[in-house]
Amino acid sequence: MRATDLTLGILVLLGGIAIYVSAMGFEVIPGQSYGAGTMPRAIAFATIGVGLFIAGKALMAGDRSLGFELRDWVRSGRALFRAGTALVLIVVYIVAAPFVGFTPAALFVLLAGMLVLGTRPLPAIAISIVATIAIQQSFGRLLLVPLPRSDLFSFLW
Amino acid sequence: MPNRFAAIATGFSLVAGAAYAQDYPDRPIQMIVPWGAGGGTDAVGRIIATQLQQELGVPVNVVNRTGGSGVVGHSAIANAEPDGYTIGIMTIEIDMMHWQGLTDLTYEDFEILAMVNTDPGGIMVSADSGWDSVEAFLESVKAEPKGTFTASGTGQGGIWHVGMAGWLLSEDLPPDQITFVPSQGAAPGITDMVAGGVDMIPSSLAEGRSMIDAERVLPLATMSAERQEAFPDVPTLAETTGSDWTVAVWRTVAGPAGLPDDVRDTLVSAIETAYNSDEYQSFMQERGFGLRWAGPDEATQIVAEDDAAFGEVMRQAGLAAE
Amino acid sequence: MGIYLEAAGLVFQPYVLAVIFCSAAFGMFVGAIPGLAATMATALLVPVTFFMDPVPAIAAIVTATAMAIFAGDIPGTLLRMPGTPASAAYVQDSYEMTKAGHPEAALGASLVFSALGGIFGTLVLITASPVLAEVALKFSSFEYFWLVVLGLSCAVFVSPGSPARGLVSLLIGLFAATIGIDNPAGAPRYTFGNVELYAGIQFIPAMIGLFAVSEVIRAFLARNETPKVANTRNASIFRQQFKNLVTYPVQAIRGSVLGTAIGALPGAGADIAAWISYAVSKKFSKTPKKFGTGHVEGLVEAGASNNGAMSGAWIPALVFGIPGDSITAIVIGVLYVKGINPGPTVFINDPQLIYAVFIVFLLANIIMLPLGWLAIKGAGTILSIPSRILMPIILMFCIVGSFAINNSPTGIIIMLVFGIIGFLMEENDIPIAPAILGLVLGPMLEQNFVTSMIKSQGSFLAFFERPIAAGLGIFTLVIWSIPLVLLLVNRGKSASVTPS
Repeated sequence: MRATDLTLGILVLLGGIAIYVSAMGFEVIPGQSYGAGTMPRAIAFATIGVGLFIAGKALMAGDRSLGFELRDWVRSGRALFRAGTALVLIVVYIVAAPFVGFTPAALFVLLAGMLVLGTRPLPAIAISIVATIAIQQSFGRLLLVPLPRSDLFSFLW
Repeated sequence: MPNRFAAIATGFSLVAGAAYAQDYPDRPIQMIVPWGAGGGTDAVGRIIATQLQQELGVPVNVVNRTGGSGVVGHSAIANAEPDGYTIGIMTIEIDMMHWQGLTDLTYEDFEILAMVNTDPGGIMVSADSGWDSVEAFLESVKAEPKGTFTASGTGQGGIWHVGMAGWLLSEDLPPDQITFVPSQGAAPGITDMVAGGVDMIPSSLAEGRSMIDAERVLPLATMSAERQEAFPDVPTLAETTGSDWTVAVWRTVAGPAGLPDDVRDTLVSAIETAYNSDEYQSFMQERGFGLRWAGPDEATQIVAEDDAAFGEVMRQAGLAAE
Repeated sequence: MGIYLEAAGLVFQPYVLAVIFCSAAFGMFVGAIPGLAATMATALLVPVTFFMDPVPAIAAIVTATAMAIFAGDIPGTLLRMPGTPASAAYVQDSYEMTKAGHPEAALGASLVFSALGGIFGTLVLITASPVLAEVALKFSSFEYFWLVVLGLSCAVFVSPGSPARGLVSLLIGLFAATIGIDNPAGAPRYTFGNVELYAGIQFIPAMIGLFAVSEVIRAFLARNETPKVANTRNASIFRQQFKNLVTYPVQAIRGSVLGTAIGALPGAGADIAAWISYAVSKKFSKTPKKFGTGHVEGLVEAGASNNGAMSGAWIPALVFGIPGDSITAIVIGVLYVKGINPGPTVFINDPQLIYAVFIVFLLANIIMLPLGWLAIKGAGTILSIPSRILMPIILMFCIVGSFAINNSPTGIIIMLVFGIIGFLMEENDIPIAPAILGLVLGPMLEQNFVTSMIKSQGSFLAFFERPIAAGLGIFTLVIWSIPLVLLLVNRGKSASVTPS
């Protein structure tokens, strides 16, 4: 999904305006003329400038097309499904791990990921189990990262 | 689906819950430190954790939850399950952040187990500043118009900012007679002062120790009732300008409010043993940190008194939210 | 001389050497795991060092840190998952070298020139630290402001493609850095009342998202279409680097010098150093076009600079007890506990201890070569794992690494959001590296600007009133005006050539 130069310029410009508007509510440090709004405002001006530059350059080059060029993958339902899975798996982990604990959540993410990418089931199961235990042991035990505990697998802790 | 997971998980934790009443602790304890690795609070947290681990027989793992001027880490301690498996180091910022309107959290959301350290504020200037006493410094501050001099050492509304404002108020000066320049902590503030960026640092003397030893920084006074053991030549404010203002940062070990009594007692006695260990005592002395023991009741009282005092100063200095 | 022998006697003992070796292996392990930083390795070692004598305690931390920093280049080179913002400066080149089938050449360059930079920095530390520390003490917010602007400028100018798109990336990073309440005013910005957002956007999860997750998304999209990487196993790692040293001696020295100098400034550090060195390398290169396409030249200079800066950071730490980063802060704490109080007196009171520490620095950089060699050999096998198995495992490492940085699921959410942003940016030919630098340096830029304005009571002239600040400021302005002048000159030329 590639924006044309003019579109990108306009998007950047709008982003800059949005930052400027959102920064209007930030207060200054008491007794000073600078404060929380200084930096966002400076960023907003720079962003507006860059947006104008990109859009202006596109217009000067005679490129007036607006919108997005679609890449091949957008047309492939399977590719979109796989990429979507990667994102959904992250969300699944975020939601599930605090409840079920690290071990089952990680096992699920690894296994589902491998299956979607076309690994055969048996190797996928075996590798997922080994990888989960290896990650849990190295992070949880050796590096003392407080991964969410799962009581079902408490023997691993 | 998540509901079923949750149900299973709850089931297990109930079983676990029933078990712990008899033999707390039976699994690793998390010690949340609201400040980053490498800082003083982190060091105190880690040495206490090491000692607690020996005392309680289970791993006590230090977990840094940093950022948001301490709000994030303190929230994590207060919002944890009050089962004794999550405790943390609560720092003085808890008495200020709610006045600033950053959070609703106050010390009352915690079960304060013990106070293990305090460090009084001080007044430090650059060695080549020309001031050799706090009286001389104060005279300059009074003589020149507001805003002539600058100070630094914490963020906006941080403890040393409040400490300085309280001192100025006690000398009948406006709390912003000296302009406060926010910094990311005492060390960058002190470096900036030596580079000529600001005039004064009101942080604890311990934080300026290496530069004091290097004779780049001159400690003029300590904001405590008595002189500090590590700096016997530095007078108190009362001895010099006659101000009765004192301020000190402290560190406490705390858990979320509502800890079961037996868990609390186990922890308090383990912390007391840790505090009295040679390792802790020598560590704190070597680092130049002030040793101070206060049990749950006394610690809570100190925290409450500071809370009220800071609220008053912050209102007068315009640092408190409306 | 006697003092050196005494110091050597403290270091060359079986116990100390064993500690050095173990902590080296530990540092290598922690650093090589994507998402784990050298700071974490150091913090984990602290409780262990409580029970050691001063020299082995310092040796453990110094060695583990040096290893972890190099090892951070391994996931960067092989999987485009840089371990530190500094290594993000040259990750494009090293990853392109991997894709071209030369991962060992890229890692070898990182290893050898990291070690060289580190050794150079240590020698400077031994010989000139008091002088350099004096200079570092002259840096106030005005000087740091210009240094940060200089670093950010470099990110824009080195980014492949159009500078305008590099600037867009930088602005995305700078904007993300404004989130949270850790700003000079202490005011919440863009937090929507969410306590977790008070802490702002941590750069490690953001970096994992921008680089690694976007790459994982691409791999999931393409499935088996990723070209198989040919792994050249037979090439000798060190022979290639000898060739590099002969070809690029100036770059190696320039990188070491600049890195050590910038590293010695407690408010700057390795991040700025590596980026400025990469930009300098590209500027003076005979083949600047090759930068970013898998060219080793920038790797040589920025790699040397990176580790030079790490050694440089010890200069203010040992001479004045001023920490430049979280690692030196931890070590200063350990030094105090061990009764070695950093400051000028340590050179008088305990010279043998300080010299022992120096010897440990040199040893750490030397032992890095064989251990790094082993790690490179071992890590190369990662590339022979098919991506249908490797990618889900990497995804899991990304998740755990993002969680571990602040032990909070917020890190994973940040990673996810920045993964999508990074993917979209690359789809639009917007480079992602400048966004990382913007995120890291944004808070420094704001802090130094706002505090400078408070100190100067609102006068912009103050940025040019101090000698060093004036020098840096004029230099920065010149750098920015050159491309504008060139643009105008070119426009003038093309206008006169093309008849209208």
